[in-house]
Amino acid sequence: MSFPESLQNTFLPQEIQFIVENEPIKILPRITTRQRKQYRQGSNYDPDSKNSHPIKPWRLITTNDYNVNNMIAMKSTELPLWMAVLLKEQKKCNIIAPNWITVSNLDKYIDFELKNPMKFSSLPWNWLVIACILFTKAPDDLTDPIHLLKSRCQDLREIRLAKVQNGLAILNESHLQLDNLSLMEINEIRPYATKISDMFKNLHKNTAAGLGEDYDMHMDTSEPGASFNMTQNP
Amino acid sequence: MDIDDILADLDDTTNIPTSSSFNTSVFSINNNNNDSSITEENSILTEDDTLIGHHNNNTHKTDNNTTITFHPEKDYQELITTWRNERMAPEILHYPDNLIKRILYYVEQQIEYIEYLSLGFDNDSTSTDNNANRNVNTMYKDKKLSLLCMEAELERVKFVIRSYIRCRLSKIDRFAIYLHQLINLDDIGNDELSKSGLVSRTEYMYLVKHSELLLNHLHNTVLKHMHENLQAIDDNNGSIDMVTKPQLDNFVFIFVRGRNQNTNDNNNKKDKKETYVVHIDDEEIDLVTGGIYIIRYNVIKKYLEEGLVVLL
Amino acid sequence: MYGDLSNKLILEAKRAKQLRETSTSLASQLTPYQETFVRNILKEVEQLKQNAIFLHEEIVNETDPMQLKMKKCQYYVNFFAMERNKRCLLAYHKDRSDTMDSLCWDQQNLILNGGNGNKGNKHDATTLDNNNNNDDNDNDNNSNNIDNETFDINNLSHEEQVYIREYSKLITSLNGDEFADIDLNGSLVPPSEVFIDVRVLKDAGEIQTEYGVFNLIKDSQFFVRQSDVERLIQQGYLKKI
Repeated sequence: MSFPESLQNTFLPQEIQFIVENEPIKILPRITTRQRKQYRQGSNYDPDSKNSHPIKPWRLITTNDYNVNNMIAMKSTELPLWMAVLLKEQKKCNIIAPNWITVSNLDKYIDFELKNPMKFSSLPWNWLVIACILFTKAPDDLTDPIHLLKSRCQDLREIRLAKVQNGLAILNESHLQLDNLSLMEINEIRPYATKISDMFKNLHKNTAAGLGEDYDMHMDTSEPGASFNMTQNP
Repeated sequence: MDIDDILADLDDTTNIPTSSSFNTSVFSINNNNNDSSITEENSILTEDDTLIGHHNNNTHKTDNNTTITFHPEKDYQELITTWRNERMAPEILHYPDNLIKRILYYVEQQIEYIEYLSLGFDNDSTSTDNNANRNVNTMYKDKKLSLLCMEAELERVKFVIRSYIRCRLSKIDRFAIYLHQLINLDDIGNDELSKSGLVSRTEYMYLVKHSELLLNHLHNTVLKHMHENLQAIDDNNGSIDMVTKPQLDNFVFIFVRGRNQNTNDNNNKKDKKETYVVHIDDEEIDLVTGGIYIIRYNVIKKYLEEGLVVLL
Repeated sequence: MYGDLSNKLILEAKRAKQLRETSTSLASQLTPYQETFVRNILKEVEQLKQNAIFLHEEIVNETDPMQLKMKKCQYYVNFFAMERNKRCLLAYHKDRSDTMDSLCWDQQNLILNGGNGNKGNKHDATTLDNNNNNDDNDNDNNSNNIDNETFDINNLSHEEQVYIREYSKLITSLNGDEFADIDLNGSLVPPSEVFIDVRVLKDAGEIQTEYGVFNLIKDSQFFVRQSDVERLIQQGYLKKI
């Protein structure tokens, strides 16, 4: 097989991280890349730019390269996360941690999670990966003590996981709404969540086919669809 | 032909098969495709009208003065979405020929650019025509840094394309007989499958060649020893269908992106949220923009094709 | 009983699958081809085929409805046994060809560089690596030296040897023009650290990379592209920090 079975119908955790790394994050550069000759016009992608002078030192093909060509030391800018991490490893920038990674904000999220057993708080869709990356690659850029942040994240993770497990109890042959579940969390529950739903669907199909018209399929009064929804911010 | 199925099937009875041999000779190999990435330039760009009229266009003049629009950033995002959808979809999705051609073109150009920069960077480190007040060494390091980033970026793009193509090839392998039947059913010629946009020319060549190899192998080792009524590899007379087909009603995770395409952006709460109706059995369900659902693939397939829904 | 052998073959395939999943060594990826099993099953199929012909004639000439029913029944049972054998044989061979496909993607150099004219000597494990006498593959990269594990081509049947070589060529052709820059055989795990810091453990002289010449003197440190030094790390000259 050209694609290993372990990668079929799922993503590796590294792949989830890869996807998240494409997202922008604010940084505080320690270097200046802006030159007297400017590239102010935005991301001018010109495949032949090597023939025209001056040379653009950073030319990128996955993101607008204006920011990276116009970094000024200690003046905040925004770069894709993977690049921010690369610069951070070279000690060329500090990462500005997003607002939600503070003890007080995480506490608010935890509070919401506890008060709303049928909803997930509106943490960013990539919160878990961002937190992990910052903990390992940029611990010195976090304002609150790292062990406190880590334990808050761990709490959040456990509370939400428990909710997901309760949510599995209402899985059915129709559908289930799971707003605000993050990508990493989805990937973790994917194997069994989809398999269980598929089994329900097949059971449903077989009973419907096997029992004929005189059996009332909807004897059960509960709604076939289920919602695990979230409407408000904490 | 799963081993577990066969084992589980030990006591099952089967019917007498009719002879419907899978005919290999129908599929000849088409090798005259030699489309290098950018020689059909104009079609790459004009066909894709979504590129035109974007506010931040970058233009590129060619010899014949037609303006070609490149938008690598947007193309990359599109590639990521395409890759993620393909990975999670139970069936093979349409091949975005022009998008892949453009991306491959960026990669090719970027490799050249990096080589060019590395040369310049060697020269800079020896020459002295640098900014007088600038340390040659920092210059050297900063340039090296940009090269590091560009190389790292290149590896990322290459990874996505590789993972995407190999994921598709594995689907082509898995559904090979089914795909062949699709062609036969529609009674279209050899080259038509790629024209229909489902698979690329290269993929089609792979499908034909690999099936041929495999069939030859199975014929020589097993099938030719069989009773003439038992030489097919696409019968479904037994309790297990020999043809593996995509399970279109499998469950998938979706994100309802909606029309304004702001992936995972839940800040536009003031706008009335758009909803999309799907039907599951006799039930009608509204999918709300910004929502995440676990739902059957076939009911959201049309929204996926329109880009209103993405697979997670 | 008819079908017993087939069942054993399937159990063998299942065992091989478990071995594949639990072991990462190349040698355990493809267990020896069960030639005796396959040959005996094909003998059984031949026997069943003869029965079918015989029973068919009987049915045509039978006039008594009761007898006819019985003979038809016999005929069906006979046919099911053939069908069963066919499915089992196909499942076994397809499982192996899938594994060969995977091997081709992961270990292409091993497959391509070996097996030329080495058929016949049954008990002599043929090393498939480091034979750079193959014209199909000039674009060898350094993985040749890393993968110095052996792969016993005699675990494959003759037909399988033909198949694996042809499939390998097919993959090579895919890597041609269109995807020349991509390397479809490369890693399916996202690149995490394209560049790494390394410490030199023992003198290794100078190496030439795209980023210039590095003089690898013991205890010095370098920031290099991981793919440039992978081999030296394997060989113990460098250590990732």
